[in-house]
Amino acid sequence: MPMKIEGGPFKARVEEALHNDFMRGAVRRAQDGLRGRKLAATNEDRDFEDWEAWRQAGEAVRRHTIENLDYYLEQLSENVEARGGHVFFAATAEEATAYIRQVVKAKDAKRIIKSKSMVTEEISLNAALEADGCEVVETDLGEYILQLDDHEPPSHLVAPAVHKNQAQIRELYAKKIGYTATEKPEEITAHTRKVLRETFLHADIGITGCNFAVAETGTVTLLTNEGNADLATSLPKTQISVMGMERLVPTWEDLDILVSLLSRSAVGQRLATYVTALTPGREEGSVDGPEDFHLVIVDAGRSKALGTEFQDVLHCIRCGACINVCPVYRHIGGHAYGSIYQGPIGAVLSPILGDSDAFKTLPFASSLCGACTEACPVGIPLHEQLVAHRRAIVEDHGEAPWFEKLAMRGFGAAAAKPERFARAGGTVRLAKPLARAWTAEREFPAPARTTFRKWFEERKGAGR
Amino acid sequence: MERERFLARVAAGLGRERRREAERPDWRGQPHQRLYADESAEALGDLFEEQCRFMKTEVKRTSRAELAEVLESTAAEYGGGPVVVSDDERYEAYGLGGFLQREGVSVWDDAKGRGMIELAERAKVGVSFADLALAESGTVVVFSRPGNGRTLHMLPENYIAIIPKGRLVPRFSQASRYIQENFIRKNGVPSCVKFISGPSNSADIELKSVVGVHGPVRAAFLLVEDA
Ligand code: SF4
Repeated sequence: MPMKIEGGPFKARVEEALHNDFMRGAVRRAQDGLRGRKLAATNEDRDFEDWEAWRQAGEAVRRHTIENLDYYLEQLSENVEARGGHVFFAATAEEATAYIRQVVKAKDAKRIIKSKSMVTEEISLNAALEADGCEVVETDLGEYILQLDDHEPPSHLVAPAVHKNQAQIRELYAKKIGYTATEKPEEITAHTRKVLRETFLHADIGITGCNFAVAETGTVTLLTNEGNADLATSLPKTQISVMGMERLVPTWEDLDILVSLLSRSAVGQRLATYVTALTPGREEGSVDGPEDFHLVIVDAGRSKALGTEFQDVLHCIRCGACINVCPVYRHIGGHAYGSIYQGPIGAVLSPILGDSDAFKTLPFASSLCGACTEACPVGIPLHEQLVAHRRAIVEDHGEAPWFEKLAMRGFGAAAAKPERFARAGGTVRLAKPLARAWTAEREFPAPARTTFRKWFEERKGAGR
Repeated sequence: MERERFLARVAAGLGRERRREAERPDWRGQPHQRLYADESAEALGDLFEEQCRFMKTEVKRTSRAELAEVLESTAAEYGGGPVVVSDDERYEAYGLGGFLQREGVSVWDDAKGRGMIELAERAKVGVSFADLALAESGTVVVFSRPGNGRTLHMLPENYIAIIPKGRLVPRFSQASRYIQENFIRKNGVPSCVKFISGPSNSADIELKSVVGVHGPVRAAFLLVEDA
């Protein structure tokens, strides 16, 4: 699936989402659950000391790495090659898929298993391999469910199928794989285990993403709770790991800091259940582990952020914490963003990586409340980057897109009669400093509190 | 794209010449170095136990003298057999030689090739020693080597790890230091370093936590206090 997902223009998708009460309830529960877990493992974990100090350490590692990215990528690639692995540098999505297709062809491989990887979604890898006649199976439970549902797009970075309920999943399994048991997650999971075990055992190639590569040893580190990445890199003869070019750390000590931040922020655990560090060259005489190891390092738009005010977005470790606190995501869910990356990180990243026209409304899908920035474990100033995008988009296009126009017209009325917006539903608070910065520049007043739905309903007429 | 062109583009994006060296910041005094660093062995044992519970791992504290019995009974709870165990001298040293002789117990043998993997796939229980264990997160660390297959820890329905208490360290920080000192400065890292913190689990359906999606359905960590 490419960056952009189908479903009409942003406005239409938002309206559809606002009328999908089930989805919105599921999204609220997921946000609350994931956010609570993260808080318990960060701010509220007294042993963990000073969360701010951890965040600063994480930011420092990321900043140092990106500032020296060429150096560390060179070191990484040399170490992978010294251990007998292959490295391919792909400037574009097309180069990356072409290389992988060629490896698959050279191996005469037909059966491919994958563990969750967003970058392979960016480059539409599955579709390319399927077109070549391969069977490609996603093994992360959430991704597997979406794949069965005719490749439905993910709606959350960490919990991709969170918009579906267990009854829908049961029905889907019944229709697609002849499932007959109940809708209990335990039974659905047990069935999935059986089906996917077979697939693992007979796969020719395992394709993974990469949470963090370690430059000093040529290692690819993968974090899962399911253990699917372990099986995907133990059973097939060939491993292909695909990484965004920013996904590395200099040393194992830096890995420590980031693995701790990612595990705690993404799933509220002190460590993901399985952290697996893979370096090419399996030990002489071992029966499992790949004989052949390929690392594909992908730019695909990332270098556009280098040297710009958006450079810090490359610090992202894809934990989803910003999504879990976003009031806009809470109301519209993941699909409304029209991108495989949702929420605040999606709104900042998608216009950089993808065709900016398709995503130009996304930076306006934010209340600029600043909760995302506060939640981010590596201190990315997400809301400032959203403002920067808005400025750039307005300047480039000569006029504001509809969402901003309606915002500009609407905020006057909202500010005048704040009580009209204080009805039932979640409230969207506009953080003072940001609202100030933005309004100073755009000269429109910001209301203190409003509810998103109300605000959207009332404003959409004005925006036409 | 050829590597040098790719990296030149990155350097240009960063607005400078290609860099051939970098000086890593000094992390002394950062929180990862302090966390649990001064805890006593006793406190680390308690922390480990508490975290194992949180991660749905059964934890049993035992002694060298009782280990054989605890291992027997845990394996029996987990369905008895077939059992696959890592090839490791420590079994003898820990009085587990008898366990290896038992009917239905196979020692990992890479020479069996694909057959070994099939055996692990059918096994009720996989057993291995921890090379290190992390108290903070209730984690067992294993380094790949022949006789200690990657899939041994993942394919059997249940997993049992034996942890000599001397191998229990505060957290990931000590493991990365161990890897620095014992591997990176010597012959390089093992091809697979696994950090295992309990049974395979997923919350992908309505955020409800379920175990056993791909790897072990149940996991037991046996902490040998006097080892
Ligand atoms: S931007 Fe920050 S909070 Fe959001 S996914 Fe990335 S690292 Fe996590």
